[in-house]
Amino acid sequence: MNIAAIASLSLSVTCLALSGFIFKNAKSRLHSLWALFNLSIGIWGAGIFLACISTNLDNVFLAWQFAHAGGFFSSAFFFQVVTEYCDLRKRNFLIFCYVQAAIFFILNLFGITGYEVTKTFDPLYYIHIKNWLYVPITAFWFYPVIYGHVLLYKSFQHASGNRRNQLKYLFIAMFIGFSGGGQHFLPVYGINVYPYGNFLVAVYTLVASYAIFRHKLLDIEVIVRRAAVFTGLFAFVYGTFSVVTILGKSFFNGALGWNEWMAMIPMVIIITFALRPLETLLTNATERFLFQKKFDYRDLLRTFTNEVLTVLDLQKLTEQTVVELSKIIKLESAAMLLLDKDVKVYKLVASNGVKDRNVTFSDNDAVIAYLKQTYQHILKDKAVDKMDGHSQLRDDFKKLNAHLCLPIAHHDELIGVLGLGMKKSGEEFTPEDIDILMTLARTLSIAIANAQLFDQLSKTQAEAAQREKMAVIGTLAAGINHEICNPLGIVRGQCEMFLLNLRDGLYNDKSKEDLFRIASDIMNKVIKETDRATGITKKLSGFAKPSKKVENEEVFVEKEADEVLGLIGHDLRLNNITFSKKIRPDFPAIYADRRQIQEVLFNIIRNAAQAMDKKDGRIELSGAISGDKAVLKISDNGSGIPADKIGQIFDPFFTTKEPGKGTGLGLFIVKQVIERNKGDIQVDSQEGVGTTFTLTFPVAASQAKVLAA
Amino acid sequence: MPKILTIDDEIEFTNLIQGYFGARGFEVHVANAGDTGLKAAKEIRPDICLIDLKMPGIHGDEVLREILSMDPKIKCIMITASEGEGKSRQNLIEMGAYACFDKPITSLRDLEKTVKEALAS
Repeated sequence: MNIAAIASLSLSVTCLALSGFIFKNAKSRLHSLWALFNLSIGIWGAGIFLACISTNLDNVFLAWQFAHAGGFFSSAFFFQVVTEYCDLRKRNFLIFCYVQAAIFFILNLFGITGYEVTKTFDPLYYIHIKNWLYVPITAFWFYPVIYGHVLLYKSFQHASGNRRNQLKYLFIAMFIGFSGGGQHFLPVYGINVYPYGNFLVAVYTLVASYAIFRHKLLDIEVIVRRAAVFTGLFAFVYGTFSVVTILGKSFFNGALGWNEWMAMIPMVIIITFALRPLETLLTNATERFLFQKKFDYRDLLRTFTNEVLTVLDLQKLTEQTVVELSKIIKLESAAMLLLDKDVKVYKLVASNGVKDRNVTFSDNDAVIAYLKQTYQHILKDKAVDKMDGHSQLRDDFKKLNAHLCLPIAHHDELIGVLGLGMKKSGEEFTPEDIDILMTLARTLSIAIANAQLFDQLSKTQAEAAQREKMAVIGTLAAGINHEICNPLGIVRGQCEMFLLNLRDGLYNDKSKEDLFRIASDIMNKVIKETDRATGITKKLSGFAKPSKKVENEEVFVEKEADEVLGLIGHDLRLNNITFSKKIRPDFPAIYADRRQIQEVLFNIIRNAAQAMDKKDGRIELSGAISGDKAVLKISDNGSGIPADKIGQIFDPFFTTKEPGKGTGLGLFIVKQVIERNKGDIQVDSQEGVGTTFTLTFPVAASQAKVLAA
Repeated sequence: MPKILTIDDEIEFTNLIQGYFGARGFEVHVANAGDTGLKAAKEIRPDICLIDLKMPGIHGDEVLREILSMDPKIKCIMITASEGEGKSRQNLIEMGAYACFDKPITSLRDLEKTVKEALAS
């Protein structure tokens, strides 16, 4: 088989396939005409294929007659497709086209078409002009083709939006196809250019198919697109593959002088190994980009109702929305913008397939203005066609890589925008799609509003927790200052004193031994004071280190109480509060997290100190055993808690302190921590007399013998 | 011989003052709490009082007030530890304190200078 035959076969198969699918799904006259046009091209290609593989002169002539039977009508069909598509009235010219096509068709039947068959390309027979009749045939065939292209181009110039794209691809497809097909006339007039141009006709099918699936050209069902595209691609790859095979064969056969059959062996090997991966590649590519199924509404609703809309974390909600929409509807991109109320700007919060992550829109931007005005969806092409200032809208869509924008509105306020890109299948969004997406956007707005409220609440809580931390630091600061700065001051003072005494000549009469003694005294003081400062920093780091998980161990409460006292003891003393412990020496270790127990003791003692209204304040920590539990009591003789408030003291944010003094989190944290350590806390209080907190903890297992004793 | 009374709950601090000023010709008396300090002031009638502001029991500002009401000629120098707690420096000066010093003392020489100025005034 020669290259011309392969090219003709490719174009014939692709055009006939396209024609067949369009016929089967034709919904209008335009569809039928489009199918007829492809049929005529397909017949023409089949004829040339037969001519290229025949060696008998009569058969070759017969095959060319067959080819011309289709070819004569192709230009007339083309012209009618153009007038129909562009909605033009060219009735007389159309009649002229069909009449001349019919006349030449009849002449062709009788073999009176002014050409003969010669061996133009060895070993290929081709037609060559025999008499003048072929000149008007050529002219009358080209006239509608050229005129049709002019009309297409003019329509393209005046079109906008998606129609402009459709016209562009239609023009390109036709131009490529007719350039390839028109090349056949060259050898007829003695210009012997080998008819590679037939491959271009196959390319025409590809471009046309692309236009169909991508830009909804001719509004034909997606099934047609899939089949046509696949056939086209396959034919194209197959054709290219065959050419390579033939070239390879001639290389081994001609250049290396192998026997023809031997020369085929490397090609067979290549084909055997390459065909399968190539097929997989092709199938994957078409499946990925073209064969996307229509998305399942039920799947969309199920996923959103069950998995997305219930999410309370705003970030997660928006990200999941974008991801799930992209996945289920198979979108090229998706983006969500939310209104930042502080700066009144819509910011991109989640996106997929959007290049610029910092996209923002304000009320002045076209897309926001439109959505605020209508609270309806915007479909890029339609809106761009309709609206004034559409270039700005087009830019806005471009920024989001969007094809469809939906409003996210809550209580008559546009709180966000959902921008959806093209479907990977190239399908347009149908009215049903938009209907369901609008419903989804409305539901989404409620979920977003909820998540925003929750977010706000979390922030308030986080702020309160932060204030609590600051309050703790405030309490600790005095102790830290006392325990760190004072020792450092002493160290400094002792050193300074030594140096000044030296300078002032106060040591002049001292013996060497005396000086050594003085220096040693100072050194000992320095060591003692630095130890004191180091001790508090150790206590502090042990106390302030956040424990992410509970690390239970044996905890000796008395020891931990001493640690806490190291931090706030000075504060208590300054406030004339006496702290005392009444813990039996054999009081068992409890099983808990050491740091958390320190936190509990710190919070309760600090609370007691802050509520102290007496000059001789007392706080007492006592320990006792009750069954298999260790019971700790922390009592104070402070102001007590009013009876009507005692039920609320463990509630978060409940405080009886003056505004700004308490965060209401101290005892809440205490209760949480104790429960986390499998303990329990009870409170007993009498106004004006004092408060007692009773803490119960499980005793560490190793201490069981203490309990038994 | 000028008399200094240092009132501070920090024993090491009073030791330091005693060591420094004792070696420079002062008669140094020590009290480690507000009440004992007041008592000592009554007995000794010092020329200079160094008073720590934050002490358990009677606070420094109270001690200042008592001493000045007893004898306004006594020059009281307040030693204040932290900012924002208790009386501000301005308040203490208004109450009659001669000067205020930050604790920890960053220069014994400066303290000595202030003490000498107070004596001369």
